[in-house]
Amino acid sequence: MQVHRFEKVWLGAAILLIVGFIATIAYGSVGVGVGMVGDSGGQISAEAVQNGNTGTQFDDPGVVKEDGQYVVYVVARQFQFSPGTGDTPIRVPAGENVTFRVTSADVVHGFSVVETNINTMVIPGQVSEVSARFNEPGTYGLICHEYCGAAHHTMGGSVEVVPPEEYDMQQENIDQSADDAQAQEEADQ
Amino acid sequence: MALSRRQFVGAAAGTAALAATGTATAQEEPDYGGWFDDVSNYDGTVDQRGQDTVTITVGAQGNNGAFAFDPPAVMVSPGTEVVWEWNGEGGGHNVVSDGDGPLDSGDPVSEAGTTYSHTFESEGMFKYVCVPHEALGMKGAVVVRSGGSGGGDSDGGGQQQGPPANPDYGGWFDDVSNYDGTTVDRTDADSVEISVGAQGNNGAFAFDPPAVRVTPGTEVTWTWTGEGGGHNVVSDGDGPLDSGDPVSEAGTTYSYTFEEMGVYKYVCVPHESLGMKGAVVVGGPLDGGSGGSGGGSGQEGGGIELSGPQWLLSGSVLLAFFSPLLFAFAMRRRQSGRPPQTSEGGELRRATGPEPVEEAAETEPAVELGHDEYDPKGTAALVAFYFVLIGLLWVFMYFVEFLGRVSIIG
Repeated sequence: MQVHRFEKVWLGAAILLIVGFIATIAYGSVGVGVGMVGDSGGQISAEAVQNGNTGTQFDDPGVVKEDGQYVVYVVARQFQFSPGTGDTPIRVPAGENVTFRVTSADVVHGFSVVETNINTMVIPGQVSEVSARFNEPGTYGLICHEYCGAAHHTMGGSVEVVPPEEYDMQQENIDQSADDAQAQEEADQ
Repeated sequence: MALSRRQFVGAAAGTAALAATGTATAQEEPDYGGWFDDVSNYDGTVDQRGQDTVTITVGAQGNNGAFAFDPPAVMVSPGTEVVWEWNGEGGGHNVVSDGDGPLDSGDPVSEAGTTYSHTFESEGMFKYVCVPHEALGMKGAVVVRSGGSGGGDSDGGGQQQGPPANPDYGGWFDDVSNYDGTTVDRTDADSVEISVGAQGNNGAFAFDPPAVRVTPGTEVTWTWTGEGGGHNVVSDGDGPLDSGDPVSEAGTTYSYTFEEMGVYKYVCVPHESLGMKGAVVVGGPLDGGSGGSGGGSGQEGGGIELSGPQWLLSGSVLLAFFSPLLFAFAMRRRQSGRPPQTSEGGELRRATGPEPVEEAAETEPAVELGHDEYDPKGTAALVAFYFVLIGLLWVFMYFVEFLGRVSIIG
């Protein structure tokens, strides 16, 4: 069988392109470290999440530092992320690895940070765990992208990425205000 | 026609009921500034002044689910303790003041039996929401106002009117197919019958009549037709009607005597989503004239009336429907109006058309090319262009769009 030389050229190029695609994926996963959402978050009782008696950080969701790493605990419920929705945005520092641990108190929700590749389902009974690093300070949108009920379209929030030096200051302020409130309560009693 | 006994009793009972329960009247209805526009179960302010504690249910039926406070608007005296009690439905709820305010029950909880209370000392209007369900209309307000619900309320004949001639059902009948916008006036009857399982809502899933107006003290009897499976009659939210588990047997009846004025909405629980809903309006305009005019206007709407834009729409739909026929007719005219001998390239050939032209005879190739001499340079250029395009898309999609963004790293 005779193959025209032009055909030989473009057959070779096509095979090269496929090899290139596969190499790119390998580079993304090994070189850059792009990960997938796995089942590393483990399981949790959705009822306990709803009632706030899981005995984990989900009872008081927010940002905590575990083993030197920032971990954001988020509870998604109809139709709110806490924290995240309204005047309680998720605040994370720039340039640090941040792990989001998200779970649902009622139905299937979505957790999608707009304009990033952070995007996972939030399934009742499961903890969805994703890590990411925000290099630039800024504000990102946060939306539920799994239909979850009548007001699904209103379920959203925001993620505020702040410079690390400002972030620690805010943390102290938050802790201080919490301490103040506690002191006030004790004084009242 | 002179006042019948029923109407007279109704008027007297209405006055008495108002004096006793003190439903806030139009004059003292606070101005909420549109706060309750999207709250489906808002039906006036409930006057609970003079009581020490007032309970509001959190998670009551309303706003397309268990996303309501019941009652949504309540008027209390200063110093009253208002207790919000969770009924465990509709997911996690909380009670938080709109804007700056004293109410904050904390994070949403769903457990039945949870309570949150606040004692209102100063007069004013306290609006509050359930934060996760605010968008659905889960909003409420507490109006703290001194004064009792005693003799001050019993002035003015207007109160005896009860609900207006055409009550605002707040979208209650939006999905009820056999509701034609009129409330059937049965204020002249001592007892009123409503059939359960009437034709409607794509089956035997309707109450007939769906909306009826009666005078206070009237006994309303629901009679089952036996069609459409098991039905029941249960009040929407908190209410007096409850016929129990659904039954389907023909001839079953359930009756209730309405003593207090108001709008009583009810559903058939299994078929609520199909639109099997109804309402009983108790009390109303006592003079027969307004009731009659209401009925008259309802009958006027019976015929089909089309306004200008609707004519345009229906006309163009008809035109679109018949356009193939018009086209065929035009083609036929054109065909018959043309001498059959005329032949042009690309014209439609028909059985009656011109004779087909014989194909040209094959000619010998001018030059023979060998396999390697043949150079499809155009094709090669096109393929090269596609490769460049794919390469560019690849680089932009993967390296710029995907890796350029914040990615999941484990």
